[in-house]
Amino acid sequence: MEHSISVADFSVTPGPRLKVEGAFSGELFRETVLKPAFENAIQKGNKLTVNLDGTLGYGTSFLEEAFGGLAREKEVKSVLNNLAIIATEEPYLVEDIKEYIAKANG
Amino acid sequence: MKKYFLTEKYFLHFLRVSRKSEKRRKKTVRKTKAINRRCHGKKKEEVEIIRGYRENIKAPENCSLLNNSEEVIKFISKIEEAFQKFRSTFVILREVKNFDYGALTLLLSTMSSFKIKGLKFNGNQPKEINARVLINDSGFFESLYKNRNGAEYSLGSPNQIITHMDKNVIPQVVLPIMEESSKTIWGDKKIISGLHSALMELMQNTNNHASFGVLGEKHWWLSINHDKQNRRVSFSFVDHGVGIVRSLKGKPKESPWYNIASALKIRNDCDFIQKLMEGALHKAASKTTTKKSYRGKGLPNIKRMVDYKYISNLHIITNNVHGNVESGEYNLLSNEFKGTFFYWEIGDSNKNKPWNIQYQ
Repeated sequence: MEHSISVADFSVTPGPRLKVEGAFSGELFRETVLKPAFENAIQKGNKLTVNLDGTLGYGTSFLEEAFGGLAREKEVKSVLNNLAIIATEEPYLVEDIKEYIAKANG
Repeated sequence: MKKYFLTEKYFLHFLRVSRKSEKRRKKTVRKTKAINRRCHGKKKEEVEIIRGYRENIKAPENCSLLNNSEEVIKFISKIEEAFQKFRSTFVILREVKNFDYGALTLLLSTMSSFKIKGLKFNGNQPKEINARVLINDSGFFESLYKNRNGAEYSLGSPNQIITHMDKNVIPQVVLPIMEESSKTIWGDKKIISGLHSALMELMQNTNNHASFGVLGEKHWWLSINHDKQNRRVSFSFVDHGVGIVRSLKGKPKESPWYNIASALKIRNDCDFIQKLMEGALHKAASKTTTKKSYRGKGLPNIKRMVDYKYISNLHIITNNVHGNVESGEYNLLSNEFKGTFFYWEIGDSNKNKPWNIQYQ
């Protein structure tokens, strides 16, 4: 069974990096949506597909904290291999996210 | 027994008291004479202004932040200085012939600090009809005197300037802004993802960097002008923080930023802001530093939104730099603006996507 999540189900207006900075942060998304879904997918031997479409847009901090933050918690290689990104509305975000994951540890 | 007031001790005390009293009297006379000199030959209403406020600050005739940034920043700096000295201030707008929304937003955010601190302030209106209409239609006075709620958003009359003020990042506010902006420009709701990105980066920037070492201390201000005739919406974003140049120059000496600046051969503050906006600083940082080098992508992302045609005519004014980001012209200002100001426009030549938002 395919594992997929949509950021739009979390919020159509993704917010800042950290919870203390404002609503719908990348940190909150990672903790409540992305990380549990990723762990669940890995456990069942599947990839997780994240759909970025259907929102108003993204700040770099939200995406870096969500995806780069996941790579800092898990392994970079594991995240790169087990995560697929759909961004038909803003295709450049796929490359951005790959970079955030690859450079998550500086 | 010798009486106390005949003693030397009392004589010296009396001398000290009388000298202080004389000093105070002379100071009052000097101030009164100075005020009288300033009032000489003035009309009755002007005399009242001079006598009622400690500072009277005159706005430049061309009060356009984009075309006359030097003079407008000088004018705003004088108001900020008066505020720092806690002096009641009267702003003379009488001779203003041309206003733009950037200058109006900057003036509004500066004057609001007087209101917040309970410091007396006032001002008069421009004689020139166009400037007066612009300031009145913009809702400047309503914005200045109303009680604010950062999350509120409502669209008023055409050409109204709508202001939000907050310290945190408020992504929810973008939804009504985008709906109304796209209706003004294209007559229908559209997604302008570059607008959301730009606003997120700027709010995040103010929250993280407007004060040295303190998060969420400074307010950001966002003003939006809907020009319905020309189907154009302009955005002004201001914070009265330390400014980008000072924020990075104020880093500790061991910070890798100094090595990066040296490696990039940054000539001056203009060059620095240009390289920052164009992402050269971030690229160099990610090669040379290890600590949180994944940060600092915000301002280059705003520039990218210009390159992707989501927003146009992006200007930045921070500290002593005024940059037209789209044309790549960056100029040094002789007067410093303590904070950061961004201006951009969205019109029908900008990119949009169909509205596919499912409301939660």
